[in-house]
Amino acid sequence: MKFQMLLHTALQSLWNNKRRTLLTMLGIVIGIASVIAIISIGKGFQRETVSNLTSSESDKMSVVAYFIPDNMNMQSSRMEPFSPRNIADIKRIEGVDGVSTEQSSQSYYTVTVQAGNDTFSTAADLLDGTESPTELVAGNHIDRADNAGKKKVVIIRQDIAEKMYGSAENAIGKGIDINGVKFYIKGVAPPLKPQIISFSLGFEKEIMLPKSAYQFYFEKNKKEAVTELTVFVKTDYSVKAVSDDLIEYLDKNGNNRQIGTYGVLDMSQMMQAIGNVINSLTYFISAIAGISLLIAGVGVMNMMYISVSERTKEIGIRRAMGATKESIQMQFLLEGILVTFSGGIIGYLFGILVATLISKLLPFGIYIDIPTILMTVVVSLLIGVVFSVMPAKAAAKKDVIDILR
Amino acid sequence: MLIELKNIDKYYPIGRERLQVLHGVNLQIEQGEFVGIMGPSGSGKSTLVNILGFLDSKYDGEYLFAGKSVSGLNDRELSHMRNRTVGFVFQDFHLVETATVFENVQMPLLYAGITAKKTVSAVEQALERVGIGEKSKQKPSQLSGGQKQRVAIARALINQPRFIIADEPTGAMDTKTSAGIMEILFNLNKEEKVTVVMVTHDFSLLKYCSHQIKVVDGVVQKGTLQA
Repeated sequence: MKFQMLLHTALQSLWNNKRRTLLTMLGIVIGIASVIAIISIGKGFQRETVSNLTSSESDKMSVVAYFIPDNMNMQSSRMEPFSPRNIADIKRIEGVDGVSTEQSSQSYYTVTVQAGNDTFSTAADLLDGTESPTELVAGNHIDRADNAGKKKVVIIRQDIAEKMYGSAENAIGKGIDINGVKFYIKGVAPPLKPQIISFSLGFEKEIMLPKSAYQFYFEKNKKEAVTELTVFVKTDYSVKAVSDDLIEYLDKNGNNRQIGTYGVLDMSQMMQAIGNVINSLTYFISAIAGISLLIAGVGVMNMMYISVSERTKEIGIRRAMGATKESIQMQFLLEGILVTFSGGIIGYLFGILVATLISKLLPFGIYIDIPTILMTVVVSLLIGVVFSVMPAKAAAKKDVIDILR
Repeated sequence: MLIELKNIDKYYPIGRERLQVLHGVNLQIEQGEFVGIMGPSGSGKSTLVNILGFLDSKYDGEYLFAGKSVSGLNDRELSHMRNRTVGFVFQDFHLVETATVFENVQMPLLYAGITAKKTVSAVEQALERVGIGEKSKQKPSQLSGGQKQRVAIARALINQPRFIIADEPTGAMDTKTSAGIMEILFNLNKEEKVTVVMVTHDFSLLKYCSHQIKVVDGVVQKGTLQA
């Protein structure tokens, strides 16, 4: 019998049992839909995460080289891990597209304040007098002249002023010990509101003082040393190879190799690792959802066995009319595959729909790729074959004489 | 010689024992004969007919069809033989209930590898010939017993087989319907020289037969049968 006739026959017998066919298909639809929904949401999440982490970087792949001194307390001003000669050499390493010596911008300056009997460390804001003035309860702002003259003036908060001198007004012009140096209180700002995250940039600090005075009194020995290098890699070079060359060079020739260790951070590898973790998580959850597919597959098998036993007489008639065993087997196999395949397609569409609806509640979109579509097709065909082959074989094996007796 | 059976023995396993149902059957059927096979229930008639119709291949002895041995053919070859050389008419019709009359008659042609389009005129002709041309869209459940048997005969004829096996074709019918069916079979035999092998209990049908075979306890007895 021609294949298209077998297909026609299979479709017809499925149609004759519409309700049973639909119920069996429903199992496959739910199984495939849940796997697809999880995978497309998981992939969407993965892409979102990776693109968030890499958004600040340029499109070029880069490696970050850093230095960790053996003595952690060593002042950074005494180090110069990447000398100009080092940087020049690194630029000549094969595959290096460029080097960025951008300083790790220190967002955070700490000072030790002695207020009466209390000594505490706190974050300080360094002003150069150009900032827009903030609200003060007493005194004046730090202006350009203060910064230019490296004046030892400071703005403190109202609560500290009251603790030391009774009131904000009394505190103006009085002294306060900062890092052992006496500064004069020029202004008093309202107390800080309680903050949940005190690290972040842009938040108000306890203390404000002129930038030049800070640098003059507390950082006078500090040179502008390069502490971190971002090395860009040419697109047709392997990031791994370049970072290997880089670390080898630094271990041999790094300016501070005697007093610490050099390290490299391959950003792309890190991204890949994070991506992989999310990926495996997605596949793990999908595998759990896949168990429902297994159960649905057993449902298909059950349906096929029932169908075979119901249609024993039909099998006998077909065999008497000249159907070979293969032809009978193919007919039942096709029925099973048709159920799972159409279930797979419907399930795929349904899963995408569910994932799209869920993603409306999430801060990222779903991601649909070709491998997922192919996987759906292959998996649903496979379930059809695996769970129908035994019933189909049973159908083909039936003894014609027994049936027609 | 169309069919020649030589020393056919047939056993059925019953538990550990085996029951012999055919004892050294020798049989010859010529092209164009109308063969009547008679015998009491359990005498082995149906077993004999199953062997003749290539449904049963597990027997001892030799079966020559048109001079060629068909003993030991594999499933594919036997299926081909069933499809091309024999048509079956059963007592309880054996039509596929979920398919239409047309599809039932069409079935052997499809298994012969003919595309659906090319079968249409042949199927319509066969239905006309047995007098139920107008029923082709109906399901077997909507037909009477006589009409169902006409469908079965049309299906048996559709591949232009060398012979037709009719296993008690009128067993469940009143005399009038029965006569109609027998008329069709008889005319096929007379006008188109189709060989018919008919199993029956009904002595009144023997008048149609040109060759009579009596089976008793698995042994074929020759001679003319009498009521």
